[in-house]
Amino acid sequence: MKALVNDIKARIKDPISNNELSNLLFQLGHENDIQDSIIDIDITPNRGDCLSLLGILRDLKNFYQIDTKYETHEEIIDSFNPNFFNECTESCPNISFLKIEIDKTTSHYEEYLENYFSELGNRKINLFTDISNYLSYELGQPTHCYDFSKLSSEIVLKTSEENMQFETLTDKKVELSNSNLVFEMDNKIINLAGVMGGKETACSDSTTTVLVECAFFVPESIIGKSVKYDLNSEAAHRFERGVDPACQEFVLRRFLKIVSDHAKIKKIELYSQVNKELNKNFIKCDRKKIENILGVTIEKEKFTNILENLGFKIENENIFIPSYRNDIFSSNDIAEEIARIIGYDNLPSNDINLEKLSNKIRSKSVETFLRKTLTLEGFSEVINSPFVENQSSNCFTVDNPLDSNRNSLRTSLRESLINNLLYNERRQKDSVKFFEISDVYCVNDKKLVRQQKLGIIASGRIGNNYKEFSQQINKNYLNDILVSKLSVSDSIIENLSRENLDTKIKTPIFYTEIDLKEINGLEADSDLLKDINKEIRYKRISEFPAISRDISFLIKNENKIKTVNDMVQDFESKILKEQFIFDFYKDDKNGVTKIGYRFIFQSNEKTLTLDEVDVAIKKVIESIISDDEIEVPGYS
Amino acid sequence: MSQNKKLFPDLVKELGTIHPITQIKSEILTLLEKIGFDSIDGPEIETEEYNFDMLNIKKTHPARQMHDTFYVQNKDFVLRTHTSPVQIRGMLEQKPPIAFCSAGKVYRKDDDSTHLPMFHQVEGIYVDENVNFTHLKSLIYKIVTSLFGSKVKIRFRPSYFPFTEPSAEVDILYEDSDQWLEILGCGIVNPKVLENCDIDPNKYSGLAFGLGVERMAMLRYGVSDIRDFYKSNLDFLRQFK
Repeated sequence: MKALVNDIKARIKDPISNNELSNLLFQLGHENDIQDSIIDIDITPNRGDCLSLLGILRDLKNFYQIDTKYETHEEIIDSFNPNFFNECTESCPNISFLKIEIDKTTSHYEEYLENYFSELGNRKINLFTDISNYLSYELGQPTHCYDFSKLSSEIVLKTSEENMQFETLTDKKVELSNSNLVFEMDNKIINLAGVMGGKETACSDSTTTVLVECAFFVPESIIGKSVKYDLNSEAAHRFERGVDPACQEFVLRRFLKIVSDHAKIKKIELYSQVNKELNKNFIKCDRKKIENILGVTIEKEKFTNILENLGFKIENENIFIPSYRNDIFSSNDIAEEIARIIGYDNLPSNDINLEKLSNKIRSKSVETFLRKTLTLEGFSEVINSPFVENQSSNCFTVDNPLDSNRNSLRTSLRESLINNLLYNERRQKDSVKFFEISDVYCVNDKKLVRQQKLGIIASGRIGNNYKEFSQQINKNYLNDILVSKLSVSDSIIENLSRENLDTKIKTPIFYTEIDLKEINGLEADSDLLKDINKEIRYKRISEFPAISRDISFLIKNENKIKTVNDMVQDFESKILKEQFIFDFYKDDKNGVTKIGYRFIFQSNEKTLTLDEVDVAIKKVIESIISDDEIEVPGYS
Repeated sequence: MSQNKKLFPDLVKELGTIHPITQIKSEILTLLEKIGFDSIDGPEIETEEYNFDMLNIKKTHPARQMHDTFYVQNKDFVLRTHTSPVQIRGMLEQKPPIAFCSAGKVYRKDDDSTHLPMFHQVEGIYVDENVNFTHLKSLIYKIVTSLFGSKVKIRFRPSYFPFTEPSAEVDILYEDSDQWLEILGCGIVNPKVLENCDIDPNKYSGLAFGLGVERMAMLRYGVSDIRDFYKSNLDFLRQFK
């Protein structure tokens, strides 16, 4: 909820800084952000009563002298029959109508009303609608204004027939499905109750007689409608969270007061329907229980003061709950009230010892073993989303997918891992080795079957070092890891065809998928934690293409091998991403050593030109071959 | 020969990476296990009963609507929206005193730079006689300082979850930042939840907490776009060795 800081401060008798106000609201459970004169408060869904200036002020009463009285029209108002019938007293037990006739409308507002529009950035519409919107901000109770001259016959609050059309006062045409709580006139919907009024009976600049409706709708009859029909509605937001069921007449009297600040009132009439006398809700006052929940003792006087400042009454060992608080049911709720006012941060903390309870059941050690073993072999772990295109008859189908093309849950990890491989091949990776450990689910005879799977995919070079660089991954390579490292002997390694894959790369792809049940009994002896590097700071990765250059050095004196390697490894260039030895050959007969380096260049800002790479590579070479005993064959 | 060997560059075998989300998840779980929680595990496809009803999330709660929760098989099941149903399963199987933790994938209908339809949670629950808010605070301090270091500043503030009452969210001031960052939700287990699991709320009380693994990982590593974790980009993954 957005509010003007001054609208809050004006009613707090003590001076208060923005910072103090903000911190106090945080302590009370209202996340907020103050920018200049505006405070944006995030109210949790259980606290619908705080979605107004009045609500915020009530919550602050334990800390300051606060004026929460809003001036109302106090005189007796004539009653009238508004030609209204309520078919849904369950959904709307209490409703009031106020008919006001004024001499003429205006768009010049008093400062308090004007500020709501000019400073809070709300759009002015017409006098009555503007007062209605302001009042919702001030007191939290939505009202709806009908232009009285547009009401031709009886208004009925009812549950609508299926598939009716409705045009909102914001000119939006809505097709209503199923049943909705609506106000109808002549069998046409004039108001989607609690959400938005209709265009047909809306007020305009020329309205001088208004019928103001002020109701309590039970949240269940409003919930979900504004989202369903894509209507942005402040009213629905409040009704969904619950408004004060006992405030209707007070709010209408406040409405009247604001009208009288802006126009000469010719006539007023009031109608109130209260179908459900409000029971005074209460719970047993059990201070001991509340102390046990919080773990602290609270003096009786303090306890009473806190609750009374929040609007509760303590009488005859009972705590009476104010009508606007629909979130209080138990001693736990009262404990939260006490704790909020004391401040969670001000409550003590006391150690507990859970070790005595523990049966030492640890998270899956098989998974830890697999992760350790496979990363040692150069495989990286990926995690994929389970949503895929319809795969098989026994897969689970999502009723409401984010993407209708991906409405099934995968029963195998294969497709995900193939996509991971292709994604990296498109980024010039010529050695891709991935694994994933995940649950997969399928339906068997209407029952849910859960399996935990390990999927491994590999293609390209075995690795980048000079022994593995020239070796391509093949079935034996993968089989050897499975048998000798994971002790899995009978798994099927597939050579996946690239025929239907969107790729020009030809290296064979090998894939295997293993049910974790088959790898039982293997344990990692130490926890993973030890190996975790806590100091890693992520560096943004480049989406620009990389360029690689291979350079061979011929070294005539083997004592210089280290010199060359150090110089290559220490070479600094903004565009050099990595360098590694892909070839190493010692020719004992001729007493020379050949070392082949691959340099990979890539920029975070742009696609590199060949010239830029050539300049960098030239620098490397020339810094090294100044020595007579080192050459780069073919370089001159 | 051994002297010769030194002249040659080492044969470097490149290691793969354990996914950064797995690393953080394991780190938190290991910590909780050390404190005394037993690890338990449950399915990602759940019934509405376990995912919502048993946790005191009413039929009308916005989280249960089609735009927030993935329903599967003609609404027979949901993709769990949190790891809490695992705790329910744990409490139905074993009576107090109990201390469970669990971690895993959860699903919500979101998709932007800070929210994904699939993400990871870790959570814990402790139920015993005389468990109170001061114990919750002490435990949360222990967890947060273990994860973020003893210099971290911690703020508790009231919040709302249907399954805890009182409920709190915990913010931290991390490193040199002057912005409080929300990292964890917790509270005293709502007596209704205990009752749903046939645990006498007049005899027992509990504390519970849960945190998002991606959020922790983003903070720890300085990753600003949550989607980067799931692109499988080797240049990304290799940074987390």
